[in-house]
Amino acid sequence: MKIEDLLEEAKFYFVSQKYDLAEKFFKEVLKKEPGNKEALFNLALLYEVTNQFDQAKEYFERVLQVDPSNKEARDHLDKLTEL
Amino acid sequence: MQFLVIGLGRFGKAVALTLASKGHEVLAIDKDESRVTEVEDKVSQALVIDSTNEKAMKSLGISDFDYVIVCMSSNMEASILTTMIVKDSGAKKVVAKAGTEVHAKILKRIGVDKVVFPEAEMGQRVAESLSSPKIFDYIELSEDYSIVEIVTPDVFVGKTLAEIDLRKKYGLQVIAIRRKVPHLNEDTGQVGYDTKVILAPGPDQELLKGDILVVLGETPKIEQFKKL
Repeated sequence: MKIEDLLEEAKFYFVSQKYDLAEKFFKEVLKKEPGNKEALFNLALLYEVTNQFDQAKEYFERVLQVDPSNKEARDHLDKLTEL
Repeated sequence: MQFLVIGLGRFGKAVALTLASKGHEVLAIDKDESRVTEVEDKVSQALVIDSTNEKAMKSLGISDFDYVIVCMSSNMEASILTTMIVKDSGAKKVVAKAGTEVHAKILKRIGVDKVVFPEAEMGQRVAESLSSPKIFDYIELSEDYSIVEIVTPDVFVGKTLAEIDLRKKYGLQVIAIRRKVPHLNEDTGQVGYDTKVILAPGPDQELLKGDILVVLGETPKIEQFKKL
């Protein structure tokens, strides 16, 4: 499967609240392209939605490693750091 | 669990004593001897140490503690320096109290795991308990009853409230569910989410991963449930 198709599939499962499947497809993308910003960001968001905040932080940090000026990832990370 | 509490002002003292009363191992430190004397009988150990003294701090074995809690918000410089020292010394998790927004921002940038604003929090706590992004809150209604917010344990994901029957098994009532609902922005193709509160959920309500249950019940029974 092409990366774009995997991402589409993953996002479909994400918004359908099939989080396990969505996570699997986002990780497939990252296996093919470890720095894929969209997969990293969405995976971070998925972990935020499912309250797995340590993992969410880890992936937002990875987005910032690839794209240090990503304001959205920075905002999410700041929010997650607040109690 | 093992906790290191740094700074024994009003907030730090309350944190140290509460943790100790819950049976945790607490090392409490402050550079002011009278503050240390006040808590020394009630925590595992209390020491007079200047937390900005790197050498003294390293001798405490910072990496052995599960949490380091930096409670000295009025002196921002000391708070930041202390936080940097404990991070450098391999602290597993650092929680720090911030006095101002700027202070909080700096603490976040230097890698604090949780920043707390206790003063602001006290007042907003009840009002925000149903709408804030916090994952966990606790309101004591009386000595016997509390309302607690708890992330749905994995064993309940995919089940309905009737199936888990908290009322029968734990004597607890689910009064609301807070859920983050993802959606796709058609224009940008980006996923975002909204937070939705389901008040007085019915028995057929299915629980999803990440749901936060707002639960009312007797405090000991809540404690039992939290261990699931």
